[in-house]
Amino acid sequence: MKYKKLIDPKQTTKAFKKRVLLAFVCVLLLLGALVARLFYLTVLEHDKYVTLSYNNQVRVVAIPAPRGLILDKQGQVLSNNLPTFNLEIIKEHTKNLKETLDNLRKRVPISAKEEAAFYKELKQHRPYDGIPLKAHLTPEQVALIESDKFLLPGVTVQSRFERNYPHGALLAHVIGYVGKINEEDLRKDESLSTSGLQSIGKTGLEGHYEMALRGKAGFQEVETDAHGRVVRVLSRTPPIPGKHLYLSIDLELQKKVYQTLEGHRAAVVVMSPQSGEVLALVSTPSFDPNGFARGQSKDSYDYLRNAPSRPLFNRALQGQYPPASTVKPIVAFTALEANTITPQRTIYDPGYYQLPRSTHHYRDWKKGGHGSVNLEKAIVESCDTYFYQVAERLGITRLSQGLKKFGYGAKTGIDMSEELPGLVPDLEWKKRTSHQPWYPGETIITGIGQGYTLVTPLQMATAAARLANQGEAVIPHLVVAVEDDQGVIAPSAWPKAARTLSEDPDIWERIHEAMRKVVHAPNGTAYRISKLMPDEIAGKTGTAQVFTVGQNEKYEARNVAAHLRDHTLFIGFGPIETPTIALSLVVENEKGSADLAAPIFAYYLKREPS
Amino acid sequence: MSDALLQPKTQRVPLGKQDLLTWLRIDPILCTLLIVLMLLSLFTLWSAGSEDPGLVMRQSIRFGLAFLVMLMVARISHARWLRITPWLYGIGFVLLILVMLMGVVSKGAQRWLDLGVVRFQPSEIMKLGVPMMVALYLRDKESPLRLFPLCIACLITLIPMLLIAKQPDLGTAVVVGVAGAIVILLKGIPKKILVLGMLAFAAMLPIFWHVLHDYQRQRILMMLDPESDPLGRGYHIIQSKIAVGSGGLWGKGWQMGTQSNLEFLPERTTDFIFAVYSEEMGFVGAVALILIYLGIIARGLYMSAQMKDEFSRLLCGSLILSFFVYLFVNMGMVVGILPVVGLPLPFMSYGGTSLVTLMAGFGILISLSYHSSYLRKA
Repeated sequence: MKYKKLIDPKQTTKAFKKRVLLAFVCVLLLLGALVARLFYLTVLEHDKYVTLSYNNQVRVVAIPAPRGLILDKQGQVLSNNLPTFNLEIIKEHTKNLKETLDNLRKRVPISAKEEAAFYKELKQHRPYDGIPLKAHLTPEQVALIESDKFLLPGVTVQSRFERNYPHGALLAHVIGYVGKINEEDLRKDESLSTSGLQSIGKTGLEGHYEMALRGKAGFQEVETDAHGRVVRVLSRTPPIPGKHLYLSIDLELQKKVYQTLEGHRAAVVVMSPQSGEVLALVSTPSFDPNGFARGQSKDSYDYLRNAPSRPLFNRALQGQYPPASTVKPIVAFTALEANTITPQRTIYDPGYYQLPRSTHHYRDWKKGGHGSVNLEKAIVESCDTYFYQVAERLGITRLSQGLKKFGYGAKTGIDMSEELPGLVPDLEWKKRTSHQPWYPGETIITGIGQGYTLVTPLQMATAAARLANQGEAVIPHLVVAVEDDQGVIAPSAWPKAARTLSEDPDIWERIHEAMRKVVHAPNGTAYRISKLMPDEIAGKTGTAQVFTVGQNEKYEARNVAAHLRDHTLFIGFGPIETPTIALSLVVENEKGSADLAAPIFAYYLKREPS
Repeated sequence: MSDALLQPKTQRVPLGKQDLLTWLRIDPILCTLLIVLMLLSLFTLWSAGSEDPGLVMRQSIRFGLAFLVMLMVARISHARWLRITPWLYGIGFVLLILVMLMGVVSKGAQRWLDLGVVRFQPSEIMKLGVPMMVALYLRDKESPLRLFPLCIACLITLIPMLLIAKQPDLGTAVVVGVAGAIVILLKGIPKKILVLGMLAFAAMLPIFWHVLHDYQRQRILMMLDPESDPLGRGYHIIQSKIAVGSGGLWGKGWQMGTQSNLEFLPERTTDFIFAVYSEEMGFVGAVALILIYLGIIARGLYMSAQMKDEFSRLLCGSLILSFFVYLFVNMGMVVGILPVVGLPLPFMSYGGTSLVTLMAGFGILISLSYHSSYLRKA
């Protein structure tokens, strides 16, 4: 047996008590550290954590403002907001999602596509979010669902305002449309993601006046829990509704124009020459803007995008055509203003024009020529040879300046964002774009509106208004007044453009008379419509070449592919004494621009006799 | 040894108030503090558990049962404890091995043994079994300890600890290891070995780090920099600190805590209940709670210090200091000074298993304190 050291119980008890005391001191120190840490968090860093805690729970949710209406002058609604009913399912509230869907199917048809989209969305959202299943329920379907609500737990019918265009395709190229906010929109304007908006104006007035129509979103401060569920509303700032727009559009005239152009690829702009108010603006074929507002299928969108007739293309603002012979009154005015010609001076037209030291024949549209031609006859019969010579005498610099004075080559300033400026060539332009010198032959054809010159129907109407106004310049526009959310209607200020044209009444008299004879003289190019006119009007026809015919060939429409046939154009104003409308018309690859313009003039002049 | 206060059993027959409590094995100070804690817990659970009466009711029943367990355990005699200890340790050991072989996997860890009726965590037994066994072994060893008994004591602690850590249940493993280590420390270690041991422990840290599971390592890293993953692994700590910090000096008021009521705080009723409590009761309330815990610890240590036999005081000292370790680890985690370890706050957190173990521990304390008087008299 080994020796075992005696253990003194008193000694060990004392030692144990010492160790317990030591342990208790450790406990006190550690708890002291804990208290110090608590003090640091709750007192010293209190403000920081209060803020963090507040930010945790409070979210700002936007309340979108109701979009402003678009009305005509009489207050007829051209674009408004209609409630639509959408079917949504909150998964959290369904007892059995499959059963709910089965019950739902008995009341509302649900396509496989809708269901697939629903399940896809479901995966990306939290269970308390409402997931859209079906859009645009009929009132009958809403009633069916609401009455059987107890059988359909988790199913809700959400009403939302959706842009509506009661006149559909009639005003599609004026009003434009709203569409779903896409990634590009968000890149341009980040605030859209928190605006609560689903769609914004994309084209036309909807796009141009987006900010005014949109109004200002309101805000709601809500308390949310950790899952984002709204617990209660803390404060609410109401939205400011969007402004209403009143348009100069003459709805009846617009309808008449639209009916006239249906079936053609054409554009018409009708405006008041005194004020610049656009009374009708039509581009055909058109499309139904409601498809964009409601969200249409990819197929129908692809069709609109890819159709050869390009229904989405706004020909009135973006179609750039050679002005052709419609430019002749303008060239004539420029030459008279510059004194390069006199009205009385006559030339002999053999049917072609030749530059000195050149064998190239610039042909007149009339084989054999017009014989002896003065200014008036040149306009009335649209003699090319006369204007070849005028152009040569003016030279390209004065010629292009003259065209620009009538508004060509620059945007008119209409309140539509899509407008294109067209093109008026000059020496500097040619040098800049092609690094080639200007050839004299290019001046010659510019004199009859061919060559490089391009104009839009809107510019042609603006030029027609200047002709009608004896040089007074107006800016075309559509919005005549804006009504704010207080109901105050403010007329839009549309200042006149600076006058750049001569006031010489003698010159204007001659131009007007020549243009009147285009329609009303037996040798006028548009004489055939004269008998339809209740009042005398002024006009000018034009035929724009799409396809260049060889030197010794003759243009025959039936020999040329449909899309290469000539465009025909028309500008005009009336009544001749005190013009109340100015009009431009382009019809693509077809004859008969004057014949299409005639019923429009006739309708308007009959309705508003001078 | 004729202390007037230590009356023989026969003289305690007339039932005075004090005597009834003694007969029931109720320590008035300890029990009052425990009851206050339990009431605080129920109030906090009412708020943290979204005013669910069922939740509070279930926990009340558990408190009642745990109290009964304490009183029953307190009736076991000193001699019986000496006899039970090796059995308890042995059974716990076998069960731990069984868990390893056929335990139920829950939340990615194999901790539970399915007994048909109840699921049961054998590691709970070891929370008591290990310090009991170490105390039993060391009770007649010389103090400070010689190397051999020290090594044996370490093995008694380490083997079950490693088995639990393997499950993996790092929290319980640490708690079991700490319970055993405290017994050894209370027994006394030669200073040389203590210093060497601490150095060795420091040297082991990198190896220990290597052995840890990935998620365990992440938790420790997250404590150091919770903002590096605010919605993922750092979420618990950030939200918990926000709750405590936003509570301020006086708190947001009972049931007014937004962090808990709006469910930003995870595990509100269990591991993070102290954050809920602090948010609503503030710094003042938290300090009050800490003082209650301190009272329990002080009372427990006092009772241990009064015990005359080595087994009793080593065991009781260890149990009460382990209790401190639980609450310190939990509170330290909530305020972000210790890593997130899945340890509940004793008596405050919702749950039954660890509560029963805890109350059994207090039962042992009362029992040994009661029987210590007899030993003294004898």
